[in-house]
Parts: sequence; structure tokens; C-alpha cells
Amino acid sequence: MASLTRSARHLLASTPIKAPLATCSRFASTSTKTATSSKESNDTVVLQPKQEYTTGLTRLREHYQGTVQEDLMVLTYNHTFKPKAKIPEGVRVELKGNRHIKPAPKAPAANRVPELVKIDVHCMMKEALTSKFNLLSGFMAIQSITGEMPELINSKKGVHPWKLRAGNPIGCKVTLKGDKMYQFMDKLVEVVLPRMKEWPGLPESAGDATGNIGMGFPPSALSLFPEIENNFDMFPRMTGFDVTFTTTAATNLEARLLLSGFNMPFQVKNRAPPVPKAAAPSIESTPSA
Amino acid sequence: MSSPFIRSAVTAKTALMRAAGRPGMKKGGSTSLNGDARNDLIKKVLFDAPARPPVRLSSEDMARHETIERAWKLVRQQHKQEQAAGLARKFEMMRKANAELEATSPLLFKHSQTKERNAVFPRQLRTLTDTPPKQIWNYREATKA
Repeated sequence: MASLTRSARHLLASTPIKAPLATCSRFASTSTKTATSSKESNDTVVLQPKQEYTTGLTRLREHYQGTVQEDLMVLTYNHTFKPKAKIPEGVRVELKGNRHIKPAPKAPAANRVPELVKIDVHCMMKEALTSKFNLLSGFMAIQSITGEMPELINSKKGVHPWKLRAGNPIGCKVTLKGDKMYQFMDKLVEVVLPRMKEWPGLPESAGDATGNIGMGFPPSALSLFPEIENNFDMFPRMTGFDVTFTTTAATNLEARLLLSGFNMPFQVKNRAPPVPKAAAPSIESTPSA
Repeated sequence: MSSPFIRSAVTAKTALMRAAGRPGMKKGGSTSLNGDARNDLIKKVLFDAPARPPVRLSSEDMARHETIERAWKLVRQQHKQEQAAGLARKFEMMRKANAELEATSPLLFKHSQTKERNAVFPRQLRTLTDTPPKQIWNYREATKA
């Protein structure tokens, strides 16, 4: 290690880092040649393709950390938080209908601001039933859009009227995190969504009540991506796909606030400003919120 | 969607056939549908491309590589800690302000805690860019409301 400067050696020795060092996997050389060369061992580094923080310079991440995060912290703050009674162990609570118990809400905290965790891009092609090579176009399209190799999705169950058997390759899916996620979001919001014909924005009620939002795109939207638009003829088939945003938000409102912070358009209706629930006598004298 | 700069279909097809290695000649393993050579090319690009060879580093280079990785991790860690500390400070001030308001005026406090159910950031929100926009100010939109 003589080639390192003194400061670099000091840094290496003195910085305690919690996460394991291995971002690369190392393989010791298995050669059994007699050491004619010096003592250096030939290490091979297999560069990992997936890294969440490739350049550290993503526009939307900086926008989130600089602007959206602090505003979200204020907007989702609730001073009068009462923790819900915990369901004791072993007690089964059954809700009417197909509803399930939502996770208990947690007190607002500085480290619990809603954040975008991952984006799932999924494409299901019915044409794959007739020939599985029809999937290749969707595969290539999703890889071009997202920059990551998608994984193949096989059907779990068979549906006879649709000529679907269990275990058929039917679609492809990719999960985006970190830099790639923000870049995909950027592309969507800046390039694709503004060019979509007659798309009014996500509905006001979007969300799955646990902080995730999904949306679907028709095949025409695929051709709006710059990667596909430039080589339009190379893709045999244009397919639709759906995008799911997974966030750490707890409610629909928080999720919508988070996404709109990234310039995702929502359908907004003109409404009167909200009024507090309890009837106060001097409500006319003070201006509403 | 095709721009006037895309090559004509005839030359594109011949280039494709060359790139795909004339799949019509091979007997089995053809992914072309109705003689479409694009599927063969796509399959080649996606699955048959040779894997990246592993990078070989000497021990000195390995030490340098590890130092760089470690230093970058350290920078990220410090950045994260600064961010978290800043947020925690702001949160604490907000909590104190809310507590003071609650003690001062119950009515005003109630108004402050009332939230709009369908609140979203305004569409005019501008994410940071390196250069200013082409249209700096939209007079029509600004003078509408």
C-alpha cells in the first residue's frame, strides 16, 4: 500500500463505516504457478451492474431532498396524533367484505417523511400466448426505457377461456430503485406525459390506501419515449405497460402529495377551502385556513 | 412517429438480415415470426451477447479501488447525516411552534390542523434545472386567475 498517500492510508484506517465494504465481489486467483513474478495476487473484480447511487447526480433526487421533503414534512404533520390501541397477540380481527386491516399509523417524525422507494414497470402481452417470441419486443422496449434487464413473468394460474395455462411466459417486469428510478420518473414527467393525447392527469382518488400509486399506459405511450421513438421500426410490436410507484407514505393523500411534488399531474377540482370540524362560535370573525 | 431522417424500409431490412445473420438459412431456433428478422436480432442483443469479462486489478489497484469506494461511501454517509440533522432541527421547531399555538389559541390551532383532503403541489412547480426555461414567464397564465 505504499502507493497510497499518507492521508489516504489514514482515511482507510480510521473511518468506521457500518455498511460492509463489498460493493464488488472478489475472486482470488487459483493459479498454482510457481511465483516467478512478485507476491501480488491477481484479484478479479466483477463489476456489479446494479448500483442505486451510480453518479449521485440525479435532478429529481436533489429536488426531493431540497424542496419536496421539507414541504412534505410540514404538510403531513399532525400535532394531535393519538396512537391507536394495539391489537393484542393472537386476536383475529375480521372486517366486513374483502377489507383488510391497514398498518397502524405512526406518529409523525422527521425520519418518516414520505419518500419514493421503487418503481415497478410491468408489461403483459396477450400475444405471447400464441408465440412466446412475441414477448421479445416488450422485453426490448422495457429494457430500452428503463435501462435495466427485465425479468420474465410466468402465469401462476391457468384460465381456460383465455387459452392460458399455468407457467406460460406472459409478461416481463422490472423494478427500478435509486438513480434509475429518478431518471425514469424524470422521463415520464418531462417527456412522455405532456405528449400523451387527452390524458387529464391521475385521478383525484388515486392510490391503494397504503401509500402506493399505480397507472397504466396504452401502446401509443410507448412510442413517446425518446429511446423508442428514434428506433421505432426496430420494434415489431408496441405494447402497453403499467407503472407502480411504491412509497413510504401511509395514506393516499401523502402519496399524491409526494408524486405531485415530482410534477406528476393530478386532476384537481375547484373546491371551497376546508373548515375545521368542531363548530366554533367565532368562526366568522377569523379567516378560514 | 417516424421522422424524415429514418432510412427507407428496404435498406433497413437488408441491414437487419445481415445483422441477424441470415436467420432464414438456419433450420431450428428461429424466433422470426412471419419472416420477421427483428425478433432474431432482439434475441441476439438481449440474451446472446457475450458477458463482460471480469476486470483484473493488481493489489495496489485493488487498494486504490477500495479507498475510492470507501471515500465515496463516506461522502454519502456524511451527506445523509447532514440532511437528517437539518430535517430533525426543522421538525423540532415546527413541533414547538405548534405546541405554542395550541397553548395560545385553540381556534387558530384547530384551523392550522385542518387539512385539505386532496391537496397536491401546484402544477406550476418547477424542478431545478441547469439552464432557465425557453419561456421565462407565461403572461397569459399569470394574468388568468
